[in-house]
Amino acid sequence: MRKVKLIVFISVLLSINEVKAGEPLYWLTYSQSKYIYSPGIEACYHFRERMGVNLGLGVYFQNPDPSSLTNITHNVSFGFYCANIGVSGYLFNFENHSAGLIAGFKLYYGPDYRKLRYYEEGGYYIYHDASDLQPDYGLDLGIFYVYKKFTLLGKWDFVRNRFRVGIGYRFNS
Amino acid sequence: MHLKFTLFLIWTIVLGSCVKEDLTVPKSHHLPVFEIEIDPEYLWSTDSGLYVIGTNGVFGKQGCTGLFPANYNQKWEYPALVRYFPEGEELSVFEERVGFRIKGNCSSRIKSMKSIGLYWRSEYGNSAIEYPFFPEAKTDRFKRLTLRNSGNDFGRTHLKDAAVIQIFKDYARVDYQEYRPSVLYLNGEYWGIHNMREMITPHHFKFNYNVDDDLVDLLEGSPLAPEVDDGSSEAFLQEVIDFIKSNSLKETENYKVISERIDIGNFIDYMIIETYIGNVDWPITNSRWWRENKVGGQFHKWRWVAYDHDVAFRSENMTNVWIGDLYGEPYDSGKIDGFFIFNNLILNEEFRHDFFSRYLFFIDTVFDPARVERILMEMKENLREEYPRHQKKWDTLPMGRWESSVDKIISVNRKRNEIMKEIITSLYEES
Repeated sequence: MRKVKLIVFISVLLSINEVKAGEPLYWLTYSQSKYIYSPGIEACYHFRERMGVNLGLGVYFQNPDPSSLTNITHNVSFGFYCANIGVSGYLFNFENHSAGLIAGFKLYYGPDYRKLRYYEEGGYYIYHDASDLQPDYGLDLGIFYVYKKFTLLGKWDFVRNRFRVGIGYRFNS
Repeated sequence: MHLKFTLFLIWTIVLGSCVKEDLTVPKSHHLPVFEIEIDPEYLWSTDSGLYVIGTNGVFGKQGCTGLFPANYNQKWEYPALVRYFPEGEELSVFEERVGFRIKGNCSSRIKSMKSIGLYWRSEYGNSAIEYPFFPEAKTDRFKRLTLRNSGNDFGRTHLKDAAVIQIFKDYARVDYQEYRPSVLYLNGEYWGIHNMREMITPHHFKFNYNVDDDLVDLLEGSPLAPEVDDGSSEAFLQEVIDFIKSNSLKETENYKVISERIDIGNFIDYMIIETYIGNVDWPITNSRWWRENKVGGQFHKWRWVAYDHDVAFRSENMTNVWIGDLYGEPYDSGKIDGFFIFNNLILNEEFRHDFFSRYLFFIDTVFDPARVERILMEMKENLREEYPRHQKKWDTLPMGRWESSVDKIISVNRKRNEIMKEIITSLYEES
């Protein structure tokens, strides 16, 4: 019985989509990894409820510790970090709540500090910048949630296995 | 059930991309293996560690664009123990105490994986090693070896410079560094594919040509203001540069004089190789030449060494041709002086004829697309088994992209061959 209720509930959600097409979503995003702080922006525009496009851009600020690094290849303080382009669509829509999926192509061109080995005598890890001034690219996948005008975003990329969060606003068309 | 399976699948994908193979357990390799043991402090400590940026560093050589001073730019040498295992062997064939240094120019030293120099010296034990590291080399005796990171090519094909050498070595009358890929374990930890190379020092010429290493003049940089690696630049500046400045090489007599001071055959082949492959990190940079300062000796004439071709055959430079004043525009106006000798020699009719006919021979034979493809495929095949472990260690290109990057050399050469044939044929006919 509970399963039937759940199926009915989801069916209702999926069948009552409204008003979301034509209303762009904008997020300020942020991602962090070893020595790297990356703010960014992301936007999403839906032509239809289940079909939209999204674009994102990120920069980096870095604060590397030279004593534990084998190399730094990119600008030592600030620069372009990543960009993504993809498609999106609403999955459900109920009263003021709605949520959807984002998936697309992601490109990195920025530092990527990874553990190289543990330096026992020093008691810390040695890192290296694996990016080597070359772009990395692949897929990313995320979900977004919208409540009235406010929206949250969470994305995972399979390029460098990094998580990026966003907080934003939905504009009326 | 489906949800659980989906979550499991996602978790597996995410986890799978994070989990690394245990790289600390030595395994059999089909490449030769070096094992180096060195005090970890000499590698990783902030004040004396050679492998880190650290806090006691210096800037790279003049002209380097390094972002900051780094320990790895220091010329520090530390004692280390090295063992060597021929491919597929589990027992080492030697164990030697050597000097350990970081090698390479600044663009090489900023890579994650560094080039390592091994120095045999009597104070460590043996002043040289006798072992056939390179089956095709003229010598089995070495005082220095480099375990090279492939320089600017690190993270890309990992064989670019070696490929250029393999392409020309059977035909060209130039000096070069032998190559053999190897695997390195550093303090017991897998450290990736390192290209074993001869080091260009007076000892190299001694062991290869039986010259007196104390009499070797080894110069590098601009021919107008060479840096002295060994010996002296005085004779070169007086007998070659000053002579050319004050005597036109158009005249047969003057050309004959300079032919007694420069190994013309060597110089022609050297210029052909560097200009054909589109080496934009040349001339002046990566330019070295030498002689034995012994009148009447076989190697008394100045000879050039072709080395460091890590930026060769790049698609963005495929149509970019610069042969000094003869053809094309400079890649870099700061490197024009590097063509000083060539720009004067090409005025001479005999040199011009020899240069063009030899160039066409190289285009048709040495750089023949089918031949280059065969060489590259063999080299790729030789690394294919080892590459996945190297890739996991250093997060370099995934297998598919690595193979594509090697294939790109083949496709660039195919196009370059057509371009150069058209240019050189046309210049030959005009001359």
